[in-house]
Amino acid sequence: MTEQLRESVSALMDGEASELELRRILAHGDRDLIDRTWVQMQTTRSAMHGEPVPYARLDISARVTTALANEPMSSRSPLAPSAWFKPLARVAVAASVTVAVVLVAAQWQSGLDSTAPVQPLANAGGSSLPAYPAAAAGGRAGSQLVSAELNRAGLLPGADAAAARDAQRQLDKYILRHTESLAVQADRGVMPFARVASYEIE
Amino acid sequence: MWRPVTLASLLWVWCVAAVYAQAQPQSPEHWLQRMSESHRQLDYLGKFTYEADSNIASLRVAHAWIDGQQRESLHFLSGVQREVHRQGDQLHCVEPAKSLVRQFWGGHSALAPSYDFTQLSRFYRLSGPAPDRVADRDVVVLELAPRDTHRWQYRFFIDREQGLLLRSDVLGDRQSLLERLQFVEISFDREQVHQALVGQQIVSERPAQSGGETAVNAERVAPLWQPGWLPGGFASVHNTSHPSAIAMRSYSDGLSTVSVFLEPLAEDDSGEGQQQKGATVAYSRAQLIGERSYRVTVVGDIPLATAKLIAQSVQMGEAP
Repeated sequence: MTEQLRESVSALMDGEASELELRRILAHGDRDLIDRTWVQMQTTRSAMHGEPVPYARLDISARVTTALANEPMSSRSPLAPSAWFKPLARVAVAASVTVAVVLVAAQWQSGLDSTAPVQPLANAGGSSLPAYPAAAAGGRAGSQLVSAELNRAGLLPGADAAAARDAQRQLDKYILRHTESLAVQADRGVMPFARVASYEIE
Repeated sequence: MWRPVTLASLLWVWCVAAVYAQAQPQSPEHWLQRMSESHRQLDYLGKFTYEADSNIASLRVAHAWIDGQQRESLHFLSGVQREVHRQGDQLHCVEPAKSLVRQFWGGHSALAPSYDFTQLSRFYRLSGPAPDRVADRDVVVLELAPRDTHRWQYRFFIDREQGLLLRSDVLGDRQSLLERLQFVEISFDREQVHQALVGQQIVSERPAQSGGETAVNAERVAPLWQPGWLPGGFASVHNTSHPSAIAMRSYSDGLSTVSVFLEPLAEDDSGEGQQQKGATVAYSRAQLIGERSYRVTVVGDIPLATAKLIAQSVQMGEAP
């Protein structure tokens, strides 16, 4: 197993996996290897935290795939998403997938008391949003992870890059106006412009 | 005969006051007050770094009063060549490589709002001042930890002699660093500062009041709009009607400032968006207010969840 893949699995466990890392895990041929790595890492971490060391058989890739397949692409709003706000929905997908896997880990840990098999995530949740409170309640990483994923809006690779740039520019426009008025009307001076990425707007 | 007596007693009072001021440790509120005034009163020229989201930029800033007007300039010393120049209420943002200039007129309300910093302790736990050193100068360090979840945590390093903010750290959830601004070099030498600002006179014509406006102006359509909810301590700073369709209101608790924008909605534009850069958050969503649809956008150095709450609360009616 490459160090890169190991890092991706570790990031997934920490709830910090990017979409690229998720894809890397999904694309990997040896699913058993990924599962073994997950269990190994989890075992090591549990031991470090003095928790009982359980064992269960997991299929991480299958869970990620199921979660992706069951993700409704445009269920967030009754109105159709416009071009420049699309990236948010895409990020929400990635975030919900990560939440799904974290939820598995949480169930997996608590599920040891009962020997019941772990339920497939996406089926239990239906969509990303119902899964979220469950993850927050059961797992440790839930809420912090979702916000971390959402904050990366506009930085996703691939076909959405152009739409993401558009969304970024629209929000940048408002940030620039906020900063201009902060500088002059609130008389904070030009220092807040250190925060502004570009003046090339409109 | 009475004159020397008066002089002597004045001198005595002055001595006592000076000794008393020396012995009395200055309160955090005192330093915040000084910090909020010094950056617009002093003449200074300095270089600083700005770190956010694991990026770092280096910049140069100059500020002086020339002919009764505030003159300022900001140069990016790393990355794309960019400059900001200010003269009174006029701003020019320049990207020389693209010969791009963006202009902004602040209007006539350029009176700096003054805050009652004694109220700040209702919303932040203040600690300090503690001694430290930044840019080869003695500073006092203040910590401001929020009492609720609607604000960031601040750490200010204020020049002991001049009162200027030389370093500021903004911390988020779990003490994570969101952004840091830190001077590495600063001079208060008047000659030097003026030299740096010479030849940067802004020459531009004030735009005529927009008469032939074709876009639907939000301020005209919904003059009484406002957020129905704001975190405690946030008071109105100013309202602006841009010469465009967008209306804007700003609010501040003395440390962070939030702007709320209202814009009549284009038909095909209905989603929501958000981003965070350093401590600055922007959240935008389509919203039905009264009988019309608008895009409501909240920008400020506040947590995202708070920006969302403010956006959702925007309504028609009198001030909250």
